[in-house]
Amino acid sequence: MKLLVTLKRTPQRDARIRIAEGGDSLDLDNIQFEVNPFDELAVEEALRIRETLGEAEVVVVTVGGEESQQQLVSAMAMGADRAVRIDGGGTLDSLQIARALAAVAAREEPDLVLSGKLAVDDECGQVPAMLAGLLGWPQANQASSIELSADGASVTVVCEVDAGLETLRLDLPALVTADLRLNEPRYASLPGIMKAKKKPVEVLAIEELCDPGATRSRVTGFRALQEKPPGAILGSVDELAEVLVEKKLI
Amino acid sequence: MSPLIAAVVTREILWNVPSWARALMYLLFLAALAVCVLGIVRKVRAWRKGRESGVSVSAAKALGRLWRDAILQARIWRSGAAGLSHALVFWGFVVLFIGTCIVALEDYGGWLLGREHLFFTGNFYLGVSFALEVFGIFFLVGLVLALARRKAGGGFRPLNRRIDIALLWLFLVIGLSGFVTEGLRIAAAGGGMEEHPYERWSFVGWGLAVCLRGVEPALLELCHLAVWLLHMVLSMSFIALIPYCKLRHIFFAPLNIALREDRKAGRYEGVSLEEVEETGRYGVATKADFTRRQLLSFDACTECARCQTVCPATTTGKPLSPMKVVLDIAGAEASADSLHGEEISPDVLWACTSCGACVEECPVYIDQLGAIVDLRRHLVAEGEIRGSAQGALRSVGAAGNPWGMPREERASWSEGLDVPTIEEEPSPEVLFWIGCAGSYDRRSRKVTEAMVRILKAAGVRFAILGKSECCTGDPARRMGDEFTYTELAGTNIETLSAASFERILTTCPHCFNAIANEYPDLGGDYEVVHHSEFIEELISTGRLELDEVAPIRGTLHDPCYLARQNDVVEAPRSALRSAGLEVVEPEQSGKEGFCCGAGGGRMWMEEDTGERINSERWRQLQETEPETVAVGCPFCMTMMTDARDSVDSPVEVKDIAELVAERLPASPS
Amino acid sequence: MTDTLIVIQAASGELGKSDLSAVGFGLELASAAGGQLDLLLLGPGAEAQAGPAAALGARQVFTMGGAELETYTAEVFAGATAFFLEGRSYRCVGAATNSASREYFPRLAAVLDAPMASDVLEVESVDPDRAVFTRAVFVGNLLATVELEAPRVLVTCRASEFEPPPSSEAAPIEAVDAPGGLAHPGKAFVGIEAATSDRPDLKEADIIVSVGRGTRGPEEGIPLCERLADVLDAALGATRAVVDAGWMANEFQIGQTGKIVAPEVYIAIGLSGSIQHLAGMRNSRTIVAINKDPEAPIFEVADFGLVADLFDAVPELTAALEKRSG
Ligand SMILES: Cc1cc2nc3c(=O)[nH]c(=O)nc-3n(C[C@H](O)[C@H](O)[C@H](O)COP(=O)(O)OP(=O)(O)OC[C@H]3O[C@@H](n4cnc5c(N)ncnc54)[C@H](O)[C@@H]3O)c2cc1C
Ligand code: SF4
Ligand code: SF4
Repeated sequence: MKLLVTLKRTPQRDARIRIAEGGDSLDLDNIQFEVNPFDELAVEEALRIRETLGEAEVVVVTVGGEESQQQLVSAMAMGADRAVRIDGGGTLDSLQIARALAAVAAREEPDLVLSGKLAVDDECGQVPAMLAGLLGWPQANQASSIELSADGASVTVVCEVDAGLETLRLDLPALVTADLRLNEPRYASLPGIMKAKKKPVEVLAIEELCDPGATRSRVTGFRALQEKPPGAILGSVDELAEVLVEKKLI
Repeated sequence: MSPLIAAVVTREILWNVPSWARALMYLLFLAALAVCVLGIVRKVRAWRKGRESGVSVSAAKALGRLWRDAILQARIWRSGAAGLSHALVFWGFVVLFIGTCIVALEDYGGWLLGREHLFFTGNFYLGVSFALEVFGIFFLVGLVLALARRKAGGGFRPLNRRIDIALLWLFLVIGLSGFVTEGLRIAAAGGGMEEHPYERWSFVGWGLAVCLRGVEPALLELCHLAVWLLHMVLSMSFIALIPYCKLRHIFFAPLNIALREDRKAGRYEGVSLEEVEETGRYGVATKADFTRRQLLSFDACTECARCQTVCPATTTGKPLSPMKVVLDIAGAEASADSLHGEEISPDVLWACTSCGACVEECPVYIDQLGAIVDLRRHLVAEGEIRGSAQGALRSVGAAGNPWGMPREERASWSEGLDVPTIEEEPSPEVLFWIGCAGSYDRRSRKVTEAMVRILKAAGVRFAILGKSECCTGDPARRMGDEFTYTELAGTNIETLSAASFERILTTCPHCFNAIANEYPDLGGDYEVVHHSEFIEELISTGRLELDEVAPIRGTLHDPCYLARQNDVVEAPRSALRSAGLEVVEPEQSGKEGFCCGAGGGRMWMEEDTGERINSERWRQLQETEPETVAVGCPFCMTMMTDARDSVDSPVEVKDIAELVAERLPASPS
Repeated sequence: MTDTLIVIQAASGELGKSDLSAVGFGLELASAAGGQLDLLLLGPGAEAQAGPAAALGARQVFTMGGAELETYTAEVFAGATAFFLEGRSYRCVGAATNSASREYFPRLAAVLDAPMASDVLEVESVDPDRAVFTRAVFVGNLLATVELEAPRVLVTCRASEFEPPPSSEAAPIEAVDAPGGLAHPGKAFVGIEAATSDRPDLKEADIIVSVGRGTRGPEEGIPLCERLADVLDAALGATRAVVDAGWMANEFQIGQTGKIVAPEVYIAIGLSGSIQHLAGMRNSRTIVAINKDPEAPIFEVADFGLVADLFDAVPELTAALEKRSG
């Protein structure tokens, strides 16, 4: 069985992101990056499936520049077998990324694609469903549990939907996105990191894979949500109620 | 049998032992020896599967250690009745063994040289006989004491009570049968007691013989032979048994004592990243991943349970017992795929607070903590570190502090306090290392601020690193993540080496331990003082003056990483006394202090099994009826405060620096 | 190409609150583009909802039901919408953000080859070839301006940011037949288990009321805080001190060794703000603290603090908020 996990390089979860001067980009100097936490859950799940099967290949793929190599290594340090990096050059929108990933999926022919439900930086959460749409595969979003059938032909997925927990059965090949409760990722370990450095990373230019089309969605500016006021000590309960309601906090 | 013994003051060796019995004795001896040697060889072979240890010990040093810890039983004495009982048995055993050797030498020497007597005569004979009686009694008393302790139960939980007690009885019967054989011999040999009045020197045997007066000599001889046989057979079985039960420590404990590595419990053995890269192995998964020296040490375990008696994890009902870890490792098959499993489970390994009490206590110098850390490293290698502990490790790596607080806020505490950074005060007398808790934890910040007041009052030229300080890596290292530790330590060493200062001052014993004991291994050599030592120094050199006040009753909770791991015991007490505290010692204090429960990464893990360690420690401290509990570590501060609050106690918990700062003379302004 | 279509998932017979807001959002889009709004109701409740939906200011309401739309799946909804759009031209196709639109909208975008903006907070402008929105990024810490350059764009909105429209004249309703073969042969709906807790989940709640030792337990302060949480539809959280005392179960613990949360509003009541607690909640958007000790460290991270006895302040606040929300 082959499992393909898509992942994205995102700023470290505790990092405080500032807007660069001018307001049209972010100041990402001195920011550490990591594997998008939801994608990490997807990697962990793939590894667990491999563990239950005893044998399976876990391939991680990202669309990004040189710098995202590090996140592929992190995923391989957790235990993924190999990695593919699609060098896009410049800004790509979700659909372009999904196209590139679809091309990789067509080449790799995985049985299951796993993704995080959302990237914590832009919080769009579009790529996985677009990818499923492009591939014409069944999809399940925000999974809190994934179970492979005994014959390995389908997965039963419990999804966290607004109304509760929905159970779906998907025939493979299929795409599933990971939600918070899916699992608890393992720690990328020292020998894992050492080993990961020796594992193969295939780098492909996006043009080699597909025609990504034009970039039609871009972020043109940032604004800070009104800077947090320095903690205000209020005089009365009424004042507090006022503030809460007025600021649309409640 | 010629009855002319009385002419020479000695005794006939192997009197009344017919040749078939002698033959049996030699046969059994050879068999026992073979079994024993085989057992030892097997052990040695098993050790040789381990990694090479490298470091060697000089002969003089080894002998010195043997004298202190084997012959004088220096460490054993610490544990009261148990120490006494072991020392008695040990010395008794040693002298009886020497006695047996003398007898054998006399016998075979005489036979070889064709002489009837060699040296086992006259006053020497009498002296030796007397000594053997005395030490024989020691031996028996020791054994009875040991049996009585086991009967009484108490906190003592040896691994296998049945074998343990059976061994004691074996010794007891060997000892008793020895005395009885002697008594029967004195009563019956060579015309009886009247013919050898000097045998009175063997006063126990003599006493027994007196009781046997009037018994038929033939019957005495028969009994003598029977008891002798019993004594002989049991002694031989004892020899055969040695390598196969805890008695093996008779051989291995002295070996371990002599050959052990001299390393503070707080200074961990490093890992070569190159080696990990090459072998892909990190930490200990199988027995062969331990060093030979470590494997030897586990076989030296006496199953005395001293380590688990002092272990804060064991005593509060956690699944960890350091003794059990040692024995599980020692008992595992060399070929086993993994030591990890049900017995040595992650829960067991993560329960350790790295307090080092076990290491400090072990009479045969086994490094249980080192073994636990090696095993933890394997868990880390497998990614088997989850939940909040993993979160802390990630934060330490990413944000430079275990709580994931923003780097840029590391020096926020100093705003408005006029604290110079190293850039503003380039060559200070002390570089004040704040630590993560001192920087971010609002309670510990108060301690940092108190220390700043003290430094200013004493006119010390000091500086802080500011935002470029980051976690020492201590939590990562204790949790077994060498990679993160090495990275953080490397960054800090770079920062520190670029700065110029005389000494590093810190209020955190964990930072202290890491920088003082572990950074040198990575090329960072600095002089480090804990604030309690520094305050004490400022006071004793007259740089710091404090107001006199009526003393209040207080007690000190010794931080493990200060007192036990780094021998700083007196300084905090004397600083506290200067600050007007009447220091009342709890039962477990100083190097024998009881952990607060926060070390070893436990600060970032939930404690939901058994009693809380901090609550147990709080209870112990309350026995001194203090008004104030003084601490000298930010983690102890959290633990003691939490324990206090959970019982709603009015007792104050304060850091030494705060108590001292309260006594600073009001500034003239 | 100036019109807007809002797609509504009509699972039940009643329009939801967020659907109303989505219609409001649709009206904004339509007016920004200078066109009209149509609504498409998908699912078994479509017909029942059509009446009320028609009175919300749309030009026309379409309904689509049928066996395959009986239960929602992303494949069916994306397929149905795509089918509906065939031969119809809309400038913007929108929906409220929810667990369904989070998956079927991007799928639809791929099928339609249209760019998409997720969960927008504001409509900036909709020109013939460019649509500009504002949305939150980085856990809501920053606002980003997103430009979509295409004649047709997909967009979902955060319902709480848009007002339901006033009622207006009834629009015509047209039933559209669903085509066959929408369902993906490889996907089967097994079942759904309704959320049982009447309180939102800690990890997902927008508002958390968190209680500390100062509440003195379930006999005293905690019920007061529960009442406040009820009024705010907030989740309840607790410090370790509260959990240790046995006042609340383990799963409520927030902090270093408990849950890590980042709600919109975190109301800390009678808790001191130890670093272990802060480690689990300091990324909350707005922190409100009620504590009687002005020195309590929680005030250092609070956006709004009230130095007061919680036994007075909490009931008062509950009453005041109740009054305001009517
Ligand atoms: C290993 C470890 C892990 C930990 N993990 C966590 C964790 O995950 N989460 C966590 O929360 N803690 C954790 N802690 C515990 C933490 O150190 C604190 O003990 C705990 O957070 C304190 O809880 P509290 O604020 O409720 O209590 P307190 O610190 O006792 O604070 C009570 C507050 O209530 C106020 N108060 C009292 N009465 C009133 C009143 N009538 N009106 C208004 N205010 C009042 C007081 O002024 C005070 O500030 C951990 C500790 C350790 C050692
Ligand atoms: S270091 Fe302390 S906690 Fe760990 S095993 Fe030894 S005594 Fe127990
Ligand atoms: S490890 Fe040391 S202290 Fe512990 S039981 Fe063995 S000999 Fe005793």
